[in-house]
Amino acid sequence: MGHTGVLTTALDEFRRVLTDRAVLVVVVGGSLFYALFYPLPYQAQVATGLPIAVVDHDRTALSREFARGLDASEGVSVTYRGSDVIAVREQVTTKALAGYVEIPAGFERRVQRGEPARIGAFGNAAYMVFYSQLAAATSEAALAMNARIIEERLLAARRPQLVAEALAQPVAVDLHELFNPDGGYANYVVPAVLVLILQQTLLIGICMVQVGRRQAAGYSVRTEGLLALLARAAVYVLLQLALLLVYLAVVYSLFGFPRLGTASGAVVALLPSFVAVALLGMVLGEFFRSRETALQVMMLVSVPALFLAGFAWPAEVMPPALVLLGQLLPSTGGIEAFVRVYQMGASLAEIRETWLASWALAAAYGALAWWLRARSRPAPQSSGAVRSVNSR
Amino acid sequence: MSPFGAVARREWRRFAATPRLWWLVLILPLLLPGLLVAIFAERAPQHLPVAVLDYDDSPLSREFHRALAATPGLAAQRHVPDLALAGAAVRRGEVYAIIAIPPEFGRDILRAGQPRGQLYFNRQTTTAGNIVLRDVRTAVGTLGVGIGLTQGVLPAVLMETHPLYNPGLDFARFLALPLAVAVLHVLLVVIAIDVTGRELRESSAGEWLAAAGGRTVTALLGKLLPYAAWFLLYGPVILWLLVRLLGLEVRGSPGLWLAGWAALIAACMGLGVFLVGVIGNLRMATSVASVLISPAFAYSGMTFPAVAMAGFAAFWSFALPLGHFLNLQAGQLALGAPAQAALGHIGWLLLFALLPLTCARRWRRLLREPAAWGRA
Repeated sequence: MGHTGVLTTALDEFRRVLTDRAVLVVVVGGSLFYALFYPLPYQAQVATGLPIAVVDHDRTALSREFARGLDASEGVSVTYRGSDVIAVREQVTTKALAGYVEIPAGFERRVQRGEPARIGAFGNAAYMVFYSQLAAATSEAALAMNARIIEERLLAARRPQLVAEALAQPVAVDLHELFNPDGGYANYVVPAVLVLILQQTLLIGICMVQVGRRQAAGYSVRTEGLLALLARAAVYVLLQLALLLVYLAVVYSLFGFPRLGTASGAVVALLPSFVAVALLGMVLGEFFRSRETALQVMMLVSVPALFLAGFAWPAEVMPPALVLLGQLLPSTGGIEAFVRVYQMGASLAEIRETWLASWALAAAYGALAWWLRARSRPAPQSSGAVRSVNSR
Repeated sequence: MSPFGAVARREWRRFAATPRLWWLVLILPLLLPGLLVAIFAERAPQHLPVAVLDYDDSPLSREFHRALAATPGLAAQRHVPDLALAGAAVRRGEVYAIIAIPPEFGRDILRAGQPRGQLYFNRQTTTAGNIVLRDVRTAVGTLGVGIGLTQGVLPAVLMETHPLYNPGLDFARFLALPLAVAVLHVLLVVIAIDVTGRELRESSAGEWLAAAGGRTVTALLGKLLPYAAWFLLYGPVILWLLVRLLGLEVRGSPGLWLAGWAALIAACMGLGVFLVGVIGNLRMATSVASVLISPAFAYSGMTFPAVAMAGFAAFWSFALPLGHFLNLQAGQLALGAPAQAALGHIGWLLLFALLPLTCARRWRRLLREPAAWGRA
């Protein structure tokens, strides 16, 4: 096949995408809609002012000081102060409260006697953010009060100011948050989800076109060679690149996600995954018998694919067999490469392994697609329309 | 035979001849939740690799390193003290954080110089980043108390944490179980749309209606109730297996949970039938369903709290069926919430079950007009 043949094949595939309303709805409409729709719940980035209670059995100046310190933190807001722990616990079960802090009776007296006094932080850990926000705010308030009291004690014992300050907090740690200031939830989830959205919508579109072509007029693809396969796949690679640039330009600026990398870096990082997606689509297109099946399958695969990708749940603690399963999805390598390069500012050399693995995956799916197409295979016979075509 | 029985028998024959439905009805409801639970088999992230750059190398800096290594979440590895090299290791994904211990760290402690360690942690991977932060703070606290004790200083105020309803801070409990429900709810909607919409797509709707004796309601119920009944048994078996596997202590009412599950089945099937009725096309109904239910988990408030959502997101979080069942489930299985809360959720789900009533006329037409069939 000459150069014109390749170009004609690619244009044929492109025409099929453009003239198929069902495919356009998913590939262009779906990929853009989901990209704008997914970040919405996380727009606040950090859950602040979660309602909590202070159950104060001590009712002293010191316990009130603690409650005030807690209320001043950003993460939580003290909406109830009292001693009725049963009423408070019930409010936790209905999620009216994220949790409560219990100050035991004798709290101030223990402090005055110089004995360690304890404060209990009870957060609803069935909702992890409730628990973590409450624990972080309480810990901060407890540390601050602890340091103040120790310093006062040492000063009262006539130790020098410097020593008192130092012993109140002998060691400290400065925090430097890399890549995602404040641990924003949208910054964390959305970049990875965007890569997955692109994969899922493209796979649906590619499968729809392939199944449709096999159904239409008994068109046979098995006369086509490797070059034609790559020409058709190239169309979808270009489509993904175009959509990616829209994501980077529109979605990122609309939601203001931080990033350290460049658009060209992101394109290079994702290229092998895009090729793998296009060729995986060609493989799956050989298996599905009706156009809707691709839609159904991708709907069901999305959630497992996201968690197999190893960013929300660290791959280090995933069973090795599932890590391997995740590696079979182009999104796993794609998410890793994109997040590291575009969010974290990694260089291409720093993602080399992932990047090469994605190329290997692309090659494997290419070989598989080629082999499947080389086999003779009857056109699918699932719909009425096809039956009438075949009986002709 | 009654028309209802005739439709159900006809559906059974269709089911038996359609491998796609075996997958949707029998295999995937077990396989996908199983996969999700397996992903979280470790329960809580442990031994996350972090780099310790010890510029001091004194007994106290080594003690700090030991305190870091002793925390459950961290695998504190000693690295060559070179910040640039360690930064590359973070970008390569080899470590989640760098903890730099400054030169003179030990001497500064003894001189009351209040040395400051530097923690550089990757918050792009937030789950891991938060665990790193928590455990580094723990290690610093441990070290501080130890140093204080050698100088005769007792801690004044200590905090004790009590993670309610989930003592091990088990991610599988709070993520895998709701995620399993999320995929089951997608399956339910997909099945409802597939079995009804495909009759239109394949132009067999006339035959279907004839089996129902010409009654639209019988046609729909005869087809869907067998699937609903199956999932009413199969769903709780799967979820109960997960509950036992995760070691969840049930504090509320299993009966209410079951009632909620029945309501979720009804809501999903109601939504599916409604979409096919309004849109009249299998493919487009599936596409629209995907838009509605695929992102439902993100909106459910199980991960990012619903109280922190605003505007459209807050409304959508309240409106979607999934969040109602997940909150009911958390309430009845983990929290021991009062029955009242569950009843509100069930009521909302039943509204979805009634949705097809709003397009009953359209369904009557769809089943009777061959012109509406065969649309791809």
